[in-house]
Amino acid sequence: MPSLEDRVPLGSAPLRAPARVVEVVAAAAPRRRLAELGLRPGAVVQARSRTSGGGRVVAVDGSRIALDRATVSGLIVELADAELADVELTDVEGSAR
Amino acid sequence: MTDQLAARTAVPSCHSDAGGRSAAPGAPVVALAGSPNVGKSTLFNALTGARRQMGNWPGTSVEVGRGSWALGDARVPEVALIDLPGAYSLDPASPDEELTRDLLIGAPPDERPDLVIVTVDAAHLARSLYLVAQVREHALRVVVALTMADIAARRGIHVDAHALGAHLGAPAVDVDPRHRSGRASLGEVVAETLHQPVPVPRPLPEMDLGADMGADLDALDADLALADSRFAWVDEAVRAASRTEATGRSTWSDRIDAVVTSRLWGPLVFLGAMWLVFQVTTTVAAPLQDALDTLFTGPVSEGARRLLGLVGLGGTPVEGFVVNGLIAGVGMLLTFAPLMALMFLLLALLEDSGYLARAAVVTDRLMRSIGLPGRAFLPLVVGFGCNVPAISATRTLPNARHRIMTALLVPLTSCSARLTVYVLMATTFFPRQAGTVVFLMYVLSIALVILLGLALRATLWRRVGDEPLILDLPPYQRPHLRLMADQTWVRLRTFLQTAGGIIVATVTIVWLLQATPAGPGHGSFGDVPAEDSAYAATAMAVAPVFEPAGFGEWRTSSALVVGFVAKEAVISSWAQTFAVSEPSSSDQPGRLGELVRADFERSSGGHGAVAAVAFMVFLLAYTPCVATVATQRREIGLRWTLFGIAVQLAMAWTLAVLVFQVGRVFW
Repeated sequence: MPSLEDRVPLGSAPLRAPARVVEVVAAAAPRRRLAELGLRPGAVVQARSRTSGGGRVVAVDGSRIALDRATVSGLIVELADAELADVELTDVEGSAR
Repeated sequence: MTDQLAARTAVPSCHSDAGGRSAAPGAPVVALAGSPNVGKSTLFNALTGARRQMGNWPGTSVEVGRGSWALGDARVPEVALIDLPGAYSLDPASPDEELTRDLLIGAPPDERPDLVIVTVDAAHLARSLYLVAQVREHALRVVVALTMADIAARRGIHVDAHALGAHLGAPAVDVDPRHRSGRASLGEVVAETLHQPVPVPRPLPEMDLGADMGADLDALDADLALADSRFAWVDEAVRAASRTEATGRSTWSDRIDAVVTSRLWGPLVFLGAMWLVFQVTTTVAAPLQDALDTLFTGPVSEGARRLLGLVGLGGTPVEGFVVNGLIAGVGMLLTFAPLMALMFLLLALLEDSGYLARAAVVTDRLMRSIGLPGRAFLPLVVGFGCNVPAISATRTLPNARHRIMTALLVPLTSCSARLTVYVLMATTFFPRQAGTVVFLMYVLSIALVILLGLALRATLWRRVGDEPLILDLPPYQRPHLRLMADQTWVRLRTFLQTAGGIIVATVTIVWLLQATPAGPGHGSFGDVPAEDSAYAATAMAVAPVFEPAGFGEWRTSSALVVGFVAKEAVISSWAQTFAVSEPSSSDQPGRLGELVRADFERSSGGHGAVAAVAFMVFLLAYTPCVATVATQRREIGLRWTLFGIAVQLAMAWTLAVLVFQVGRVFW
C-alpha cells in the first residue's frame, strides 16, 4: 500500500513515468469532461511533454490530451515506488535550472 | 411522429450545406450521434451522398444536417438521416451538445427518432462508449457504427464488433466511411433493427441512499455516482470486446508534440505557421485578386458595353446599371474567390493534419487573457490580411460564444485594404514620419482588439475564458486531398451564395444613388455630375456627423460611405469626386493628396493633420466592408452582425472625435 507521500499532482510527476490517477480536483463540469476523456480515478496516465503554458500533454488510453497548468495540478496521481526517486531527481533538476 | 421530428430539426438545419435530398414523408427517422471527431460527418456523407463539411477538429458539425439514405431493403427502402452535432455525452456542456440532447431524449417518446446510430471510435473505445451508455438508458433503438478500425489497428487495438454488440445490447457494425466500406452491412442491420421492438432501457444502478449518507447525498453526488457506474459499464464492455497488442501510440507523434507545444519551440513554430498563412492569404492571393479585378473592369465591362451598344443600349442607364452595378458587384465578389479558396484550403490543411489543435495549446494562455481560447488566434492573424476569410475561420471554434466574440473582434484587425488609405494619408500629411504613422495604426489595431475583447468579456460574457484547457489532440495524419478539396469547395460555394446577394445589392444601390440626380435641373438619370447626384446629397446630409471629428466635408464623408462597401474604394471615390485621376502608385499621393489635404484643412479649421489622424482612426475602427458584413451574417447571424456594426460605428466615431478634440488643443 503506497503511503500518502506517494501522491503527487501530475504536474510534479516526472515525464513519461506511468502513474495511476487517485483523485481529480476540479470543478464539476471540467471533471466530467476529464472523465469522458478517460482521466478518472483508476486510469493509468503518463505526462508526455511540457506545453508552453506550463501545462502537460498527457497520455491516457491511447490518446493525447493537452491540459493547462491548473488542470494538470488537480490530477492527483500515485507513482510506483521505483519512480519516486525520479520525482526527487526532477525536482533537483528543476531547481538547478 | 416522424413529421414532428422533421419539423423540429428543420429549424436548425436551415443552412443548406448538407446538400442532400430529403427523404419521402413518412420514412423512418434515423439520427446519427457520436463524439466529435469520430468520423460522424464523413459517415453521413458516405450514406447520403451529400457533401457536408468535415474536419479533423472537434465540433465541425455545428448545424444539424439532414439527408436521405437509401437502405436498399425491401421493407425499408429509405430513411431520413439526421446528422446531430458531436457530443461526448448527453450532459450538455455546449449549445451543440444541448441540441443533440434535445433531439434525442428531450422530446416526448413519440417524437424521438426511430433509431439512433452512435458512431464509436475503435481507437478510443472507452471514451466513445459513454454516450452509448447514456443513450441505452432510454427507450431508443440503437445501432453502433464502429469507425477508425484502421487507425486502431495501427496502434495495436483490435475490436470485436460482435462481442461489443452483445455487451452493449445493441448491434455493432464495422464501417470505414473514409473508404466508403461497410455501408451495405450497416444498412442491413439498421433495416433489421427498425423492425425489432424498441429495446428495454438499460436499468440504472440503484443509488445507495444508505443511512450514513442519506440526506447529504445531493444531486451532484448522485450525478457523479451515476457517471461512475456508466464508466464501470463502459470499462467492462471495453475489456470484453477489445484487445490491445502494444501500448501507446507511435513515439514520433509524441516527439513532434514535444517540439510544437514546447515552451521555446512551440511559439516559434506557431509564428512560422501563421507567417506562412499570412503570406499565402496576402502575397499569393493578391496577384490573383488583381488579375480578376483587371478582367472585370477591363475585358468583361468592355465586352458588356460593346454588346449593349450592338443592341442599341450604349450610353443608356441600362449600360450603367449592367457595367457599374451588376458587373462591378459580381466582379468584387469574385475577386474574393481565390483568396477565400486559399484560406479554406489552408484551414482544411491545418485542421486535417492535426496541427490546429497544437496551435491552440500554444496560444491558449495569451488568448485567455481576453476571454478567448487559443485557437481564436488564427482568425485574428488572418484578419490583418483580409477580414472576410478571417471571419470564416472562426468556425474552427467549437463554442458558439467564442465564435461570436471572435467574429466581432476580427473587423478591428487592420486589413490590407485599409493600408492603401493609411499610406495615402500618411505620405500626404506626415511625409517624413509616414512609416511610423502607418506602424502606429497597426499598434492601435491590436490595442483595439484587446480593449474590445476585455470590454465584451466584462459586459456580455463574464464567464467566458474561465474554462480550463482540456483539449484532445487528434493524431497527426496526412491530409486527405479529396476531403480537403471537397471541404474547400463546399465552403467556397456557401460563401459565394450567402455573401453574393449582399455584395451585389450594396454595390448596385450605391451605383443607383450615384446615377440619380439629386433634383430637377441636375442632369438626367445615368448622366449626372458627382456633386449633383443623390449620392452626393446623401453624403452632404451625413457630413455634419463628422464635423466634431474634423472631417465634415461631403467628399470625405462620401468616401467613408463608399468605404462601407469596400475600403479599396475610398481612394477611387475621392478621385472621382475631386475629378482627378487616381494616383497610379499610392506612394506618390500627388495631386489627389494635395486636394485631400486642402479639404481637411478647410473642414478642421486649420488642424488638417489632426483631422487626418482622426480620419485614419475612424477608418480603422468602422465596418470594414460589405463582404465582411455578409460573412458575419452567415457565421454569427443577423442580430450579432447588426450589433457589431453598431459597436464599430459608435467606437469609430467616439475615438475619432476624441482624437480630433484632444489633438487640436496641442497641435
